[in-house]
Amino acid sequence: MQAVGSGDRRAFEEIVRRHQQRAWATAYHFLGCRDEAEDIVQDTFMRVLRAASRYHPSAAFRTYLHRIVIRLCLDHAKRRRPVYTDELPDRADPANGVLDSLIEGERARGIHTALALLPANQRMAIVLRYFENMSYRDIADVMRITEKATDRLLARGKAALADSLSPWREP
Amino acid sequence: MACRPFRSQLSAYLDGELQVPQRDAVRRHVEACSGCSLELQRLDRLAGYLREIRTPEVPEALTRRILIAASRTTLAPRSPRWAWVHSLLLGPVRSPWLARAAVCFLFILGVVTGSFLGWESSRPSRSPASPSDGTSAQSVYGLDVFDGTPTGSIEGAYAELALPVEGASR
Repeated sequence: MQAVGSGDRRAFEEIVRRHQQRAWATAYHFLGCRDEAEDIVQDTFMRVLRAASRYHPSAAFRTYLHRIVIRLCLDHAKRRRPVYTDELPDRADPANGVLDSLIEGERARGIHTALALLPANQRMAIVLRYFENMSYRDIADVMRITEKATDRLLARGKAALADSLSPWREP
Repeated sequence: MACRPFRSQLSAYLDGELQVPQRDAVRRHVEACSGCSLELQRLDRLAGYLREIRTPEVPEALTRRILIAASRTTLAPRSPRWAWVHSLLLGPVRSPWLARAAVCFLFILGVVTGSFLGWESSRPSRSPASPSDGTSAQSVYGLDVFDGTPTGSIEGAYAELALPVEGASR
């Protein structure tokens, strides 16, 4: 980051290539939309670039970057609740179809749709836990909340998600 | 059966985030409670579905887009001449614990200084210009302006007129 702060573009490119996957995963699963996720990831790295000369390593760079992505995603969710009308799969008939019977792409879209209905904090906690395999402690750290609050967000989020997916649930 | 405290822990139980005693307590409860057992299965299935979802590869165009945007961004590096001021003023603030400690220190310093100054001002003054008999407060309250009939007031004038008459009558 010091090299980036002193104007080294190659160092910035290296940072982008090394960390973009994680930023992309968080933004993509949180927003459920490729275009919006691309905008968030680009905005994240632009902020990193502009702040490079003022950067002080008070936390791991990965955590620093993750906090920016999370903040941008949550701000985005506050401004506008995403609507996925063009991505909604046809719901399976509860009598005949279950979530297991859906093909992978349909199931993923169904879960992203259900995720989009959750409050932003619960959605973010679930994304970090299940799509990035983070521990409660790490989630608390990047979201700047307590572990107890993380536990509550995940418990409520999962219960709500399971309820909204109930038409697809096995009998 | 009292399920409520256990229901709220099922999520953390599945994620392996409970301490050993809590984990054992939840396991024993789930083995004995069909309702909680079903809920656990439901959450477990959900977790399985979530973990199955793959993250698509980062679009190649995105990397190019970021690098192009970066090449158009002009950076304003911090002037090294003022870097020491920046680090002196903002450096400690970047550590939240140091900032909190500084705030606590300043608060305690303020309380101690305020208490000391208050105690000092409440002590009898030893200045030669002021009374040194320890009755300064009484002197203040004995001032003419606090009297019922201060000199120069209308009430005082009436009192002066009335007093000789009372003296003469005696």
